[in-house]
Amino acid sequence: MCTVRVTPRAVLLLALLALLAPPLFSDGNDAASWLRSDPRARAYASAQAEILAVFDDAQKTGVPTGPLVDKLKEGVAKRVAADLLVAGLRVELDRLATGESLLAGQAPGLDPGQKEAALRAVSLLLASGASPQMIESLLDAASEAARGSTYIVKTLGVLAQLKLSIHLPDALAQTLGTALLRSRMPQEAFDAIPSVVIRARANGMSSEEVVAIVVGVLRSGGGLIQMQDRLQKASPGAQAERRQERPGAGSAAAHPQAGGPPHPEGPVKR
Amino acid sequence: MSILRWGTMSREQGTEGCARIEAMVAAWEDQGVLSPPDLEAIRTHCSACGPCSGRFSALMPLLERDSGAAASPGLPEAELADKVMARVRFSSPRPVPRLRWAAIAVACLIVAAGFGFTLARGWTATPADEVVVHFELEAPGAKSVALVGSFTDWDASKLMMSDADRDGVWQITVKLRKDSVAIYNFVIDGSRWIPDPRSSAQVDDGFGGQSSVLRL
Repeated sequence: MCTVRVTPRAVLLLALLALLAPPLFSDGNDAASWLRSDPRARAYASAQAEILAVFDDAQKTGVPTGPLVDKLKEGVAKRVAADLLVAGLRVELDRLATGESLLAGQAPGLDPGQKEAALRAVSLLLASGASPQMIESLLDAASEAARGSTYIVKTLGVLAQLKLSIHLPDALAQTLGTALLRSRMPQEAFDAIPSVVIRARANGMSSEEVVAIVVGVLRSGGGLIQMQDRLQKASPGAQAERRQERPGAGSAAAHPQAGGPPHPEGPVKR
Repeated sequence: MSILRWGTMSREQGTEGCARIEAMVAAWEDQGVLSPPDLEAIRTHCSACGPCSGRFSALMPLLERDSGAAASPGLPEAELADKVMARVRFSSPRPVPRLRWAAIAVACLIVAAGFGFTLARGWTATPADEVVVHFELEAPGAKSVALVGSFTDWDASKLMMSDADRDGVWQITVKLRKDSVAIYNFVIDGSRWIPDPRSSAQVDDGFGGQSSVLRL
C-alpha cells in the first residue's frame, strides 16, 4: 500500500505553487477563448483567423495582449464591421509596438504590470496625435532624471489629456513633459496640471503663455499654488483689472476680498 | 466633462482665513492627502472668497478626490499578509522548528488563497484606491441610456443610467479605480454610441467613432 507523507515543507511548496498558479492559468486576457465563449463575438466568426493573427503578431513582438483584448471587446460591443474591427486592432497593435520599442530602448527593466501601464499611456498619447520622436525625448528626459515608471505614466497621461482637450502642440507638450519629469513636484500633484492648464486657456491665455509660466514655476521648484497665482496674475482678465485700477492705485486694499492684489506669491516649495 | 463627486461631507459653516486655506492646500500638495473637515473648510471659504475660489477651483477635483481617498484607508494585500503572519506568530510564541514551518506554510496558503481569489476576480477595490464618479447625459426622449467603457469590459448591460424624474437628464454614479484612465461612451436606446458631450478629452476609437477619456 502506498503512503504519502505530508510534511510542512511539502505544504509550503504547495502554497508557493498555489501562489504562482493563478497567473499561469489565468485566461482572462486570452483573445481566443473570449472569441469562442462570448456570445457578442459570434458575429465575427468569419474574421476570427485575422483577429487571432493580430494577437499572434503582438506576442511575437513582445506586446502585452491586455490592451488589444480591451480594444477587441470595444469593437465587438460597438458592432463595427469585421474589416473595421481588424483594422482598428492593427492600428492599436502598431501603437503598442511603437511604445514597446521606445520603452525597450529608453526604459528597460519594467515589470509586466508597469510595462503594460506605460504602453497604454504611450498608445493613448500616440492616439492623441503625439509623435514617437516627442515620446522618445520624454523617455530620455525621464531616464536622465532617474524617474520611475509611475512618473513616466503620469506624465504621458497628463500630456495625452492636454493634447486631446486643447490640442497642445508637440513642442509645448515636450517642454512641459520634460519640466514635469525634471521637477521635484510629487507625482500625485501631476494630476492637477491638466485642470490648471485648461482653466488658464479658458481664461484667455495662449498655450505658449500657459506652458511658459507652468514650466517656469516647475524649474524654480514651485508648486501648484504658485503656479495658480502666476497664471491668475497673467490672465487677460486680471491684467485688464489691474489697468483699470492703476489710476487709483492707492486704494488697493490688503485683503483680497476688498479688491487688492489677489494674493501674495505662494510659498516656494522644497 | 462629467461631474466628479467624492463622498459627502458634513456642511460645516463659517469662513477660514486665506492664509490658513493656503496652508491646507500647500500641505495637501506636499502630502497628497486632505482630511474631509479641511476640504469642507476650503469649500466654505472659497464659496465666500472670490480670489481664493479663483486660485483653488482648478485644484478642487483633486482635493475632493484625495479627501475621499484618505477618509477610508483600505487593507492592502501586503498589510493583510503581515497581519496573518503576526497572528500566526502570536499564537505560537515558542514554536518548535517543525511547528514554525507548519505555521509559515499555513500562512502562505492563506495568503496564496487570497491572492489567487483576487487574481481570479480581477481588481478588488478598497475605498483608498477608488473614486466615485457621477455621469450625466441630457437625452430627452431616450428610452434607455447605458454607460459603457473599459471599466464595464465594454458590456452595455452592466451600467444602465436612470432618469427618475423624467427631465431628460440621465444619471449614474459609479466607483472607478483611482490612477487609471477610463475610456467610455454612452449608448442611447441600445444602439447609438456617443462620446460624453461634457468631456473635453475625446479620442478616435479606431473604428470610425469617438470615445471620451477620463483620467482618475
